[in-house]
Amino acid sequence: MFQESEIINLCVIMIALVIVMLTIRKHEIPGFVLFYAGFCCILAASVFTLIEGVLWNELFNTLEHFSYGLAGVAFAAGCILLPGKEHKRRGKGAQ
Amino acid sequence: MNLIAFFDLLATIGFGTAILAVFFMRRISFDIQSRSLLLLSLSVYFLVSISNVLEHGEITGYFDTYEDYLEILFTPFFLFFLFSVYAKLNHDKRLAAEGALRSALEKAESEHSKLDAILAAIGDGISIQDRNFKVLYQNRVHKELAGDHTGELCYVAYERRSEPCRGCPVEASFQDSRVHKAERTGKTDKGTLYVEITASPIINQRGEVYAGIEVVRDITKRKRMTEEILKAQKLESIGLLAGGIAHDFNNLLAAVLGNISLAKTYAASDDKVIAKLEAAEKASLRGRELTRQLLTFSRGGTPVKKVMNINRLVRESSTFSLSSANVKCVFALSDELWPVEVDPSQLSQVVNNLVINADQAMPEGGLINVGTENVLISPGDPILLDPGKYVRITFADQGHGIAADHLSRIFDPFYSTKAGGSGLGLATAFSIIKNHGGHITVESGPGSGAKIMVYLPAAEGPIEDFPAQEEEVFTGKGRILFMDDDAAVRKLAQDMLQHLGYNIVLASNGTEAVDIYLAAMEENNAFDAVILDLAVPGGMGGNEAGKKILTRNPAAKILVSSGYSNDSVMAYSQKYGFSGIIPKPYKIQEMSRKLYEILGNCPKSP
Repeated sequence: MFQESEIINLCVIMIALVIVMLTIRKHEIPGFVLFYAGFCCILAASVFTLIEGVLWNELFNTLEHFSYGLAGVAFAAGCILLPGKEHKRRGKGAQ
Repeated sequence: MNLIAFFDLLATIGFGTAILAVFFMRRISFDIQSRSLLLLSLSVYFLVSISNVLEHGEITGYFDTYEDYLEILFTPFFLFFLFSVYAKLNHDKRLAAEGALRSALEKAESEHSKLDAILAAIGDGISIQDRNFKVLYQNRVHKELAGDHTGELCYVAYERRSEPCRGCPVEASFQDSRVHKAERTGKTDKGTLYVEITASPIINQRGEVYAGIEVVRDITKRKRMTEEILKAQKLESIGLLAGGIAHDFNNLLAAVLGNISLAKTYAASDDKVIAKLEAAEKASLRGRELTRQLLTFSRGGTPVKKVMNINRLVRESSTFSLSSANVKCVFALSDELWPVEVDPSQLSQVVNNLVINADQAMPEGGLINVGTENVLISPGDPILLDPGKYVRITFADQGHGIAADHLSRIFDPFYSTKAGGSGLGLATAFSIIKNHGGHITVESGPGSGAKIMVYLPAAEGPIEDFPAQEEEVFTGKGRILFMDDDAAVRKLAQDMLQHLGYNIVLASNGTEAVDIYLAAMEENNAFDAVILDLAVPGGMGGNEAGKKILTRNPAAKILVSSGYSNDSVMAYSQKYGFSGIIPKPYKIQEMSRKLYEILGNCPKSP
């Protein structure tokens, strides 16, 4: 049914999500939307991992791997598109 | 390839790209710590994805065992990464804020320095006080005037009071938000200080007065100048009156003194008569001194100046003026004294008056220190004189001193604290020195004696000798034309000149004198000398008559005479072409000497 590590992982991620949500509310980091999206995908994958043990195994397993794939794309895009120092300076200079 | 394998491959490529981006792409602005945490968190799912991909290829046993634990590690790494980024972000923000603050502080400091420099450069004292009268700021001048009292309550610091001063202009401006002015006096080491205070409110954006600015201007010099002007005006009006009286009085004295001196020559062998006549002559001479002092106040009183070294005059006049046996003069006269251009007779009068004043201030005896020295007056000096070279004569007595109440009035005419004093001595001295372009100051306090300092402008040019007074009578020969409107003076002149051996013709006004002179010229019986009175009420005066005579005969020898020396002709007679002056009243000796000087051929009487 449920694996211990999966439950622990989900709990850790849920707690982390709360922390992340609270932190975002206080300090929004510009350009971090894709990072947050990737993190949410990881969370979704964990949830799907847990559900697949009790319900529609095929579907939720596919969704789990889809979520990992999406998380990978989001993090890659996030790292590539994140505005850097030089980019910022150029933007300021143009003004 | 099934769908799940595709997603795993996608995840592997995605996380792998992200790791490469963090590694190699320079534009990612994380610090090393954030990068490391991000790499760790990304590596977790990169390994998980590889494990999944390998599973599809039936390759197992590399990460399967640790996959579940690896997944748990992702979240803490990611969280640490986020916090690290937050920390860096906050740090950057704080640095930026600190930079902005530092720059703002530097700007404010620069503005403050500029404002401070401007306020320091202003010649007025500036102070800012809050609503509780606490001094918030003082500029340099204000600190010099009132001392450094920043942070103290102004009424405590400046006035030693326990509550705000009555009529305080700053308090008034707090109440009605308007500008108020007030004048204050204070005692300093240099004497009384007069200041004008202008108070303005400082209003905030809500329209509330939260502080007051006080501008303090030192008006001591202006006050003193006003006092000097008032004093000069007072002297001028009194002088007009005095001059008028003195003129008539001098004509009377001329007759009295002249007749006495003549009578003395008639009664040469009768000692009793001579003694009485000398007593009368002394009284008349005192009267002459009094009228001279009165005349000094009159508008002219123009000094007949000579460039001279005044040491001898100061020494002789000081010694001559002493009447008390127990008072002595101690002299400290500079050997290198600059010459000054003065009227010796008037300066002698000044010295007489000041020494007599010092003498009378020491009824129990003492020393009068008389000194002369050169002084240079600079633009910043508090004395009311133009900058330049001056000679200072100092008279310091050891008397009881002058009370502060009397100090400002001692030069006022007719002001005296002595019983029987005329109040003319110091006023005359003041007026004479003013007419010479100089100044008199006094320093004194009760019990510390008085020190009077006379400043006279130094002069250039050759030094003329100071003439000694002689009492000899010079007889002579020749024809003299004498003009005066006063019959008593005419009669006196006739007797005097005849006694001296001259032939005299009299005239009562200028027109008559000119007619007589021209008629005599036509008859080849010209006059050797002419004596003309300057002031003839209602008729031609001596100046105009003299000009007419000189036009016809430029070699004519003319003496001008007057009992009222306000006329510049008396001061500058030679510029007008006259041979000399003979001020009224005069004695026979003075008349004979003047005629001897211009005619030059008269033998001295035995």
